[in-house]
Amino acid sequence: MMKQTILVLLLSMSSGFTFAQDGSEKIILKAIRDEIDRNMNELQLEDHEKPFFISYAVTDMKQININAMLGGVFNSSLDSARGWSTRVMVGGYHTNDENYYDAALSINNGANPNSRIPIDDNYEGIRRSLWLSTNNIYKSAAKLYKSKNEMLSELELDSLPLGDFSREAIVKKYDYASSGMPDKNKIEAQIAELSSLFLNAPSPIRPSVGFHYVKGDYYFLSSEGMEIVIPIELGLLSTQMQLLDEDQNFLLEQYNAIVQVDEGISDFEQIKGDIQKFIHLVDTKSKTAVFEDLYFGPILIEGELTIDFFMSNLMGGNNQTIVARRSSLSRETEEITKGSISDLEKEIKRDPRRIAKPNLSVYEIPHLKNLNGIELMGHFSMDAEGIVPPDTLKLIEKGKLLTQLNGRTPSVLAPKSNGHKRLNVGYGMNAYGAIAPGVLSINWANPVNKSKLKKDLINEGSEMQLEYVLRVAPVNFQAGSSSLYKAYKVNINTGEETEVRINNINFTSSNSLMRIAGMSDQTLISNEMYGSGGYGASGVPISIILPDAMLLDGFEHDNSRNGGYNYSRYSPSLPSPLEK
Amino acid sequence: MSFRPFYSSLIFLLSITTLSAQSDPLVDIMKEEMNRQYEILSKKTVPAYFISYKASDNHTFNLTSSFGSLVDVNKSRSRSVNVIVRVGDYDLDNSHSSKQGTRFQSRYGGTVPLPLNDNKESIQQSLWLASDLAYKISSESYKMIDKAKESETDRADFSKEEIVEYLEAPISEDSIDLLTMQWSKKMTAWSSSFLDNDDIVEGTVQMRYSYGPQYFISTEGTTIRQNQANAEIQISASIRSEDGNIIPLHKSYFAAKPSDLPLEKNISADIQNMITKLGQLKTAPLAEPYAGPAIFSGSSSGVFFHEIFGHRIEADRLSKNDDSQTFKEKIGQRVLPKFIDVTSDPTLDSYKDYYLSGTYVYDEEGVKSQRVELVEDGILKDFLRSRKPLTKGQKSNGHSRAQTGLSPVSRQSNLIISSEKRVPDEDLRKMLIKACKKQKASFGLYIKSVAGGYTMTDRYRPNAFSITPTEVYKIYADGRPDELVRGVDLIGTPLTMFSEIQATGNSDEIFYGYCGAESGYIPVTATAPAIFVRKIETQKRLERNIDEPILEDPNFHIEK
Repeated sequence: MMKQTILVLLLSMSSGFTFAQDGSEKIILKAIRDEIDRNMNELQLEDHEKPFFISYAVTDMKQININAMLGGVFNSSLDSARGWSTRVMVGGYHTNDENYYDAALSINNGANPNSRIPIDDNYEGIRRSLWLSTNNIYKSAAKLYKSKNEMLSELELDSLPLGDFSREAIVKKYDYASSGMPDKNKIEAQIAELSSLFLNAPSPIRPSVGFHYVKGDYYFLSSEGMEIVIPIELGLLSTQMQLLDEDQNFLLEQYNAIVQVDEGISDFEQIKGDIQKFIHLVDTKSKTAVFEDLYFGPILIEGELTIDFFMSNLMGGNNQTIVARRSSLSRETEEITKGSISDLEKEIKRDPRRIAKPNLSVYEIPHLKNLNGIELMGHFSMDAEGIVPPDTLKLIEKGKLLTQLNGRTPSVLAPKSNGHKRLNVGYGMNAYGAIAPGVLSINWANPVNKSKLKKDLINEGSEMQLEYVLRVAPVNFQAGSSSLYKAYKVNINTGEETEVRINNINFTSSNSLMRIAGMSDQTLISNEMYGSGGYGASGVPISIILPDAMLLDGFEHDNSRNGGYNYSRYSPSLPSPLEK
Repeated sequence: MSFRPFYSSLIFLLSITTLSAQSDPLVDIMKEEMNRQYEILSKKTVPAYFISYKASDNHTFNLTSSFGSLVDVNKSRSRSVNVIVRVGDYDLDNSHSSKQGTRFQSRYGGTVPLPLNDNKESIQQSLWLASDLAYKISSESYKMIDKAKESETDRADFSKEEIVEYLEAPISEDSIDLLTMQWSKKMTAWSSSFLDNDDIVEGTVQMRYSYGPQYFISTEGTTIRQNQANAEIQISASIRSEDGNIIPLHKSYFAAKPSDLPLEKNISADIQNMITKLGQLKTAPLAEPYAGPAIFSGSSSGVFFHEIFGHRIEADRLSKNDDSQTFKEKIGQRVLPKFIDVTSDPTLDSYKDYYLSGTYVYDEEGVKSQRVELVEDGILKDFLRSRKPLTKGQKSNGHSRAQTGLSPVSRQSNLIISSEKRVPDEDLRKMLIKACKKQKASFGLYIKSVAGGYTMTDRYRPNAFSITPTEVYKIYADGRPDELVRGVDLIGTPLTMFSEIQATGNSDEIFYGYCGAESGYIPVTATAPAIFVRKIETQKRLERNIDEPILEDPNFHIEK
């Protein structure tokens, strides 16, 4: 799967000055502390238990958004906003209201349409917002906990095989974002200039350039005494270009860049060069013959496309991933609930599961800041719950999944937090915890050089009596990356390569990791955004260190009109006013 | 500015009112691109005969305060254009409605954003895509029409109107920083008043100001640039009754610009009154379903007429075969009591000291706004018309309206209800009590204020209306004191309801609102006297409940 967006989230842990109004941080911290104290001491529903844990996460941020097309600026804004989330638990660490569902109960998620957190430093107003959300969430939590205990009594159980919340060391750390925002007018002029580069493209259709920048502080305080403030700075440049090819099919491609910002975009000239190259390559691609075959055979994947492969197959939605997911136990009939608990017990006792060939090992090394002179933007020293991750986590060793990245909600493979509930920053200036890696090291035993991989590719194809095999390679840019990649048909007999156009290539399948036949001995280091779902989405910065090419012994792709190729035709009734 | 006809070969009358000789780059770019497009599209197999661009440049400023805190400050500017391409000719075009029903018409037409700066290439690209889409939609609709059959219809699909050139000078931009400074302090002070009552669950004051030029140009040669500006303060508060029911009250103030909004002391006093009223509503009993006599205050009566009468004299809807067409054939017939006159007047910017928010100079099809006498002595005289004629030779009377980005249809503006049978309020009350006794009802209702309402005019659903009162009193026939009640929704059907209006009060009140219909939300007003209605029907309102918080507001812990 190609990258849709690349963002950067710079979580600099160095101390600085407060970003908000003078004294904002004191007011926010005091309001949170006071409301935690009051609720922990006084909040109790009749015939229900008091809360045992309350935490608040508050974000205090400003953002700049600019969008331009062909030199015209469509939007340019600088806004401030605050957001917050509340967590209330009733019960204890091993058994509480979470990870449990009772369809008979009406659950309030805390959203209160009449309660918005103030953007001025109004102590009373902030407490009011926290008060109402805490009240709503506590009521649901208290009822759920009562129901959970009733269920346990019915099943004649003292507790469930897996705890609900892990006990961790308490941390206090306060780092604030530096003061000041970039010069919006300067960036606006830069974005307009970048967008006008598309005037050089042949008949572009709504080519857009977007800039999104967010800066501020993330506060997390809990009733356990955890108090952390993390500075947030995020910069993204995203472009999109559409063309109609000779068959009037739409070709849509994106170029995105990590943006370093001081007064304006600091690596502006590099980005400008990249966009000029991007425009040229999209035009070239629109003239390349479309690959219309149904293919099943080996494929050689190179460069950043290997990252796409691992992001899809290691961190995807199924259970064989390195990201922990805890399913809730549902209160059903006695037999069904007992069955679910029994399944969980078996899963806990189970030996590590093989998910890849023995050559593959994957380690998480979150504290590593640089490698070979390249900054690893995924490195971090503390997660969004204030937990310090270990130096190394062996996630997959010799093809077996040993543990998973996790926060404080226990899972079968990670019953304690390993400090990976990371800060995910959303487009709408909300920030929340999401399980994600920091720096992943993907290793392959007995790697070979690229030429050997290509020979093996051809040999695999030959054994399968194919006429050609496929090789895909990314297009490299100076400052960012794009959805563009090059695909080649490699003749089995001559080794000759013919470039073809393949859209929407997808490496995700249930057995993809088992299909790795070899990897290269060269290392690729890349910074990516995990969890982003396209333009304007949220995400967590991660770094990946891995071999820069891989051979899959089986890959299926239907690029026919009825298959995977995304045909979308449009025939303008009017010629473009910009047609050259 | 000189008049330059486009490619239309038709000859129209031309009216020129150039209020500002200043050149507008956006107008120039739009004209150039429109000419280019018309040159091509008018020569297609399905030829375009009319193109219009309706561009909006909207500056908006929002400031929201809740319980003494500022919760939102937002300034934005956006420009967009709505393109209409008509194919065929004035007599029979893509908008044609037949007995088989209306052809598909996208309410969004070809609407796209425009850049904030006057960048030629970017504007051209936006106009190109919007026009291309609009032409495709129109030509496909036109192809589906059975031309031989439909050409026999006795009315045109699009009226020919006077060509206009009208350019107002732009409004100078208010400093948002200054506005924020001026208003944030006042608004946080106002909304902090709601902190004094622990049962108030919503206490919000919002100020909105929007302004900017609106453009209309067409291939007929019309060029309009007129300003729109609306400032509004909205106060919204809700209280939790003892049974957990949420009871809302709203109050809005409208003006052309922030400095014309009411004085601080007046708003503070209104908020205090609202808090007092909420306190009374908290313990007020829930009303049971009711059928019997009622008095509507002037503002409530305004909503009543807007919903049950106003929406049924909007002509575009009457041309559709799935519309109930309540008044389509009733021109010259009595539709309201003899003593009632109804006028729609978008040309007025004030009426009896009330600011009118439904005012404009030219409508969204470039036609000059006109005062329309809709009902005289209870007799229906006219409809609110766009350029879609209801009968042969009919022209627009300047009532084509739309929200930014949507295609216009005929809509209401400033509805003014007047009466020749005005009596003092006390007499209305006496009439109500008399009617109660006659109907053997122990009480009648006084609808003092309403939040809004809605009506259905199509044939798929009952042709009914609903109005949402916020302050309702029982007036007892035996002389007991009036009793405030809650949870009332007024329901009914239009023709029955009109026949029940018996008399009107002495003074007029105004209701301001944003009316939502096919062409989106638009500002409207309805000015009316109080009315006495012999029989209305109410039902219980859907309840919205919130549990009482376990802990009290943290502010009550703070020593002030």
